[in-house]
Amino acid sequence: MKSPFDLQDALFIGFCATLLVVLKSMLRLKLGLSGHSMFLMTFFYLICYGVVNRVGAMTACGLLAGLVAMMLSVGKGGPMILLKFGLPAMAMDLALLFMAGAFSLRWRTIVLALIGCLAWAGKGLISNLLVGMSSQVALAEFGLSFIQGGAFAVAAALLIPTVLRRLHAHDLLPKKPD
Amino acid sequence: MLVNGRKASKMAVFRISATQYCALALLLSLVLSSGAFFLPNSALGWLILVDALLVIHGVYLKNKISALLRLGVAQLALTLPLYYLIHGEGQMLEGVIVVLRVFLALLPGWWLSATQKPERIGEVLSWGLPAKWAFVIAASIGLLPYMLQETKEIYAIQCLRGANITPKALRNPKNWPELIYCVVLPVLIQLLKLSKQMATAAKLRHFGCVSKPTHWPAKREEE
Repeated sequence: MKSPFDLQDALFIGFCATLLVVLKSMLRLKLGLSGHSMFLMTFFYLICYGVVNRVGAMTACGLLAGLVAMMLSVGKGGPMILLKFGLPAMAMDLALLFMAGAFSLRWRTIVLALIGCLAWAGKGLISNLLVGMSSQVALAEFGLSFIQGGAFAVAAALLIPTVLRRLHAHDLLPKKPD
Repeated sequence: MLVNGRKASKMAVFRISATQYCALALLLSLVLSSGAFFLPNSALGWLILVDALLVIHGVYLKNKISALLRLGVAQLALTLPLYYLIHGEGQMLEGVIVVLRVFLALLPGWWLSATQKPERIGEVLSWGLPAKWAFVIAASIGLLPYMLQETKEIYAIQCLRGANITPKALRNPKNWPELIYCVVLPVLIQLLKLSKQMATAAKLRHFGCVSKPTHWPAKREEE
């Protein structure tokens, strides 16, 4: 399999994924609120997208984060965690295919964040339905987690344009963020 | 020494290696996790029995299960009131079963991470990964202590500078953007520089120029 990223991009994605996993495991102890994991996830995925500037960067970051989390045995561990990190990233990348260059960077990141959050909450909904939870209760939990996660995800998305602009000011990005 | 080595190799014929054992454990936890979702209610008792064995194994190896139990209780506290509000008292038992299934789905993962070494899981995963991504994962995990050290130093320096990012100040969500600009942004800059340096170093050693990359032998810890 030939991967389209050059080594430097791949390494940056890997570092971001590792940092995401570690920060997530450290923050989890302090806060009791569900949905705050969407903040870090959205932030690092969108940073990867902004820095590498390619479709597929977010999926790579998500899958790597899942693998690293599995290896470091962070969180509840186990094979399910791959899905947990990978699914929102894949949804965001898929959405990016349809709206590349459609909005300004700020709105693009917000829409992407909401889509990622939808995938995240949707995964919870599907697993709850599979388990046999009644559909009303599952929908109520879905709505709750979407609202909580969405607030965190949008907060992260709002930070992205500024961070990218500052990275560009340090001459670290190949292309100016629009 | 030589006799010992021969003995070990003879034993290895009859015994599966640590890596194969880890692959089996990974498969088992995958099967048990999906079993929690798809098995009918009548078969749930057997699943509980198997998972109880896993818990005994994990606790026997001196691992803590309290975090997982706390998660289960939190899930119960969220789901049961919702069931009560929407369906009334009659279906509370169903809610308990749902939470039990979620808990049973998480248990094999806990057992896997409690009993298997991370590097063995990594070896199993690298069977299916391309060489470049395996290198990336190995590099990120290997550099993790360095990254954490760097992050801690930046945090300490920014605290000395008077940024509002002490644990007490972070209770106020108003200070969270400051954490991003003071700590995460410098860390990102460091990571970008680090990845550039590592890529240059690896390329100078002809990384990716040969189709079959060589590996440092990883069998040293197998007795």
